[in-house]
Amino acid sequence: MNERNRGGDDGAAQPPGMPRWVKVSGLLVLAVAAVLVVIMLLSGGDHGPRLHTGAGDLIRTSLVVRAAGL
Amino acid sequence: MRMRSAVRKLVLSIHLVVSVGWIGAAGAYVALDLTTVRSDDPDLLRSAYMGMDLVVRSVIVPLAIATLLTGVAISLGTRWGLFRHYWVVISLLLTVLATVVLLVETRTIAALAEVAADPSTTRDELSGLSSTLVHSVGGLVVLLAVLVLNVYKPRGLTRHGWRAQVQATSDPA
Repeated sequence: MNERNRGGDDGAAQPPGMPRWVKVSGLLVLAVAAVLVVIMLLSGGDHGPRLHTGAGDLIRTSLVVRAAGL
Repeated sequence: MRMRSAVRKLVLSIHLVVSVGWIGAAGAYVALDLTTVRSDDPDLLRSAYMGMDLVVRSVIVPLAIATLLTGVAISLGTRWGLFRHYWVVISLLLTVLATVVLLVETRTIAALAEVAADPSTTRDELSGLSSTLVHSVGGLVVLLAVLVLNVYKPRGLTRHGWRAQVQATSDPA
């Protein structure tokens, strides 16, 4: 495997390809993300940025509901 | 535009202090977050939630923003550039991601601290408050990954970096 294919900094005539460490890291991150998504789905979690918007209202509402014994 | 040596060293020093400080503060935050998961003591829970809010607002958010700004400055002011090397681009993306998630999470933490600080909140309610442990541990892992990238600086030019290098070689002036 030459330097160009490894994404080296040698200024070859063709643009360098993506380095192997980027591809491997990307695949690892995707695999971990997929596992986390599966875990969240199996545990019935409702997760996402929407969860945090107005979080105070959600927390207070749940406390009011519990405090009222509803 | 390249920075002069003295300026580069100053910006790099600030970047090192704030970025490593961010990791340290995140570690302290995880300790408080773990307390909210493991403890049933209402006083300890109140203190932990209020401490988390204080640490995030007064330490972690300023350090995150300072890390992002000094990181961009040091990249643009040196030969590394912002989009020339994969390790710089990935570091930037991860830092932006960590900062955005942090800023979104700040609202949740403030709300949790507000409820915890309310004297009418009962022991059971305190124990039932949610945790931010997944985000805090995940954020710490991301920050450590960026640190490793910045120390090892793995090889790999982007297409933009390659074009800039070819241009500089063919036109040294």
